Amino acid sequence: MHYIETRNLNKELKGNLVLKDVNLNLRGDKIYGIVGKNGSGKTMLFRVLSGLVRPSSGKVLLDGNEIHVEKHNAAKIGLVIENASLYPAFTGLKNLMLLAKINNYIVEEEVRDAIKRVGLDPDDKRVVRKYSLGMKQRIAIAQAIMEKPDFLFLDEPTNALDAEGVEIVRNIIREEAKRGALVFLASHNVEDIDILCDETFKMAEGSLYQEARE
Amino acid sequence: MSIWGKITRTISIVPITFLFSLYLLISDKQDISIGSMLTHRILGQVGGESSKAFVLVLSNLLYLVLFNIFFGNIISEEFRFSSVYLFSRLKNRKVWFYKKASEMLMIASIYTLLFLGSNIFICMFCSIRKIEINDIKVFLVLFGLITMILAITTTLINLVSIRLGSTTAFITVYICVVILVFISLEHENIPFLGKYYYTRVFNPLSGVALNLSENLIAQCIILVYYLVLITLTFILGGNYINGIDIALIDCESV
Amino acid sequence: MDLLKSIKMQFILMINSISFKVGFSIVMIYVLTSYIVSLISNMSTDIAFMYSAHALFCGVEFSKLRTIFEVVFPFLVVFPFSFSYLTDLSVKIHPYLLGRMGRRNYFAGKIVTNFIGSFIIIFVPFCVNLLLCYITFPWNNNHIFGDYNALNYASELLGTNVTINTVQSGVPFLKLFLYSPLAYNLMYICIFSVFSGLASALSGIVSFYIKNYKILLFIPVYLLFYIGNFLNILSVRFDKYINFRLMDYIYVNPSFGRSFVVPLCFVVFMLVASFFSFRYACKKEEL
Repeated sequence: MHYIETRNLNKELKGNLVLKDVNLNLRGDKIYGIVGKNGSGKTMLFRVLSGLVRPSSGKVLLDGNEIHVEKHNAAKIGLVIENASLYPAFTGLKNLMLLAKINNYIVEEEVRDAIKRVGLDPDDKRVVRKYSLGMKQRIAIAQAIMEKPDFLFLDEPTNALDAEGVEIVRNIIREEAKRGALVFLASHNVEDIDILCDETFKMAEGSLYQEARE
Repeated sequence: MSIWGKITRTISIVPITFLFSLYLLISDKQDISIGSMLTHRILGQVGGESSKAFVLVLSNLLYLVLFNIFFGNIISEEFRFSSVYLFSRLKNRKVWFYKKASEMLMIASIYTLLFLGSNIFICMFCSIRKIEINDIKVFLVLFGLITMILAITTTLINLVSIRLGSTTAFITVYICVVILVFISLEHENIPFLGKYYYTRVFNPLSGVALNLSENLIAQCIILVYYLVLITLTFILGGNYINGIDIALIDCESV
Repeated sequence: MDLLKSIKMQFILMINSISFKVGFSIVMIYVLTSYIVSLISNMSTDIAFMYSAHALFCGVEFSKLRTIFEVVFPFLVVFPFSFSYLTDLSVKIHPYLLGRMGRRNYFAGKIVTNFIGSFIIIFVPFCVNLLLCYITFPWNNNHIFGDYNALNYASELLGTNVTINTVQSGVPFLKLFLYSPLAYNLMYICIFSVFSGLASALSGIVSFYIKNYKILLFIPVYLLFYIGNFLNILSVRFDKYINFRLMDYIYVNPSFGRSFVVPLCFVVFMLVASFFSFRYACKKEEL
């Protein structure tokens, strides 16, 4: 069973405290949700949890191991972060193959499966530059799930998706949690949070609160 | 690009010119006219007495390279990022481009003025002679030549970079400049055209106007030719901008 | 091992990128044009009077198109991979890359791949030109500065015709030159390629300090060459002349004044700059 622990996590940017004393204790094969206004600090929290950004103080532990910003982390993390994209000159498959080759956890067949799971065609010759916003979002999700991560951090995963796409992503999230991954998702869509999440948090001005579920 | 960004980039040529001329300022003064010294600081001379010509010195193009780099994406960046919002409001894209290109020409003029002004100051310091009317004529011809080269090359880089990215645009235009200078150096070896001295005038980088220091009318005609080249670049650029599909840029940005 | 994976991934990215292809194509066009120009200019020449293959190689100082390549080279080295960090930032793929390989492997991979990319775009085309010259032209040891019987041959080799006070004169690595001009040219191709790689790494590490405006990356290497030429003009006033023109160290030429201190300073500067830039890049955050 995977777990995330943060102890007195703080992040300061240009004098502003973007994350204030965040203490998290997430366990098991559950789906956790986080809600909050724009600019409340949700994306920054995901960046710190995935090791992209160094906390000003405090610790982040994934399965008991402190996360490193500079070194490669042993924990397998799948990440979808807002506004991130892929190389525009390559096809979706080529992009994902390039990323998969970094750690060699998976082979081409598994990359193709991941692309099919999100409802895209792995043999599509179009380059990512020509993808619609919804397609870019789907390929980003494929990139996050293809290596069967232990931790899945999804920031607004259903953004720009049609109804079919939203349903596909919800099913993927459930399947990943069933597989044993710890899923932590942020969404403005209240329906996503209500339908999917076992526990919900609220982020307000950098502080994290547990939300009571009715 | 903010106004302060433009100002900083434009005036940066002054300290750079002085920095790379410090050794001259501490050397002995020379008995050469200021105009001649100014010409030889910027241009090189090829050919014999009867067929001498001035050309740009390839190893001394820092002023051109810096201007192209600093302002090579000033129009294309605005086009790339704001074209959807801009052109859905503007009535006429050509007018927008002409305004931007005119701004580019004005910046090039100020940059050239500062560059030549710094060089004139250095030459006055290094020469025992005083400024004469001929030196002012040389200054004006060089001003026209360098402003024209800067304006045309930078506008071309901006236009090409909309399609191919700023870096490919820069290297493409720069290679064209180098080839034109090389052609100017080897002019006499060109079959047929090489026999006629005045065919050099078709090469905008040959500095031919300086060779005609006795013939004022010929110099004026050549300066008009420079103006025609600039105008042509702007008109063709306007037509190109007018014809592009917005938000459908089909290229890899390098 | 993780670093090797990072280098491998970035290498694959590089050879698929348009900027690498542009850089490689330009150098390839140059070497083939140089070869064709040598071919045309020797069309009606008696083979006994034709210059030797090693003297018609495009990496030699007397090559006809060398001036053009010299002025374009400072910009060419930037093309293979120097833009990649800024491209990753503008495309916003860096979270996925950093998350998989860690910052150290990512930036170390960038520096090494920069070096490899620029090494390749010089090494391969110049070897092609060398091969074409050795297939086409005679191996008759007719040098551009004279043949064995000419008065100036020995003085050019030994540098005894240099009258100013300088640190070095004559052909460097003379024994290798006399033993095998082919090996000599190959050595210079390697020197040129290594220098090109280091210059590309320089522009690559400069990219760690800026956020956009890729075109600014053309400045560092160009400025380096310009400063070298400038110092060379100043050096004439010193008691002992030292050649600071960086191109004179990487082309096959009999110029004098070359000191091993100049390239050594460049290499040391590169190593120190790479180390500190690497540390800076690992510590900073892309937000």
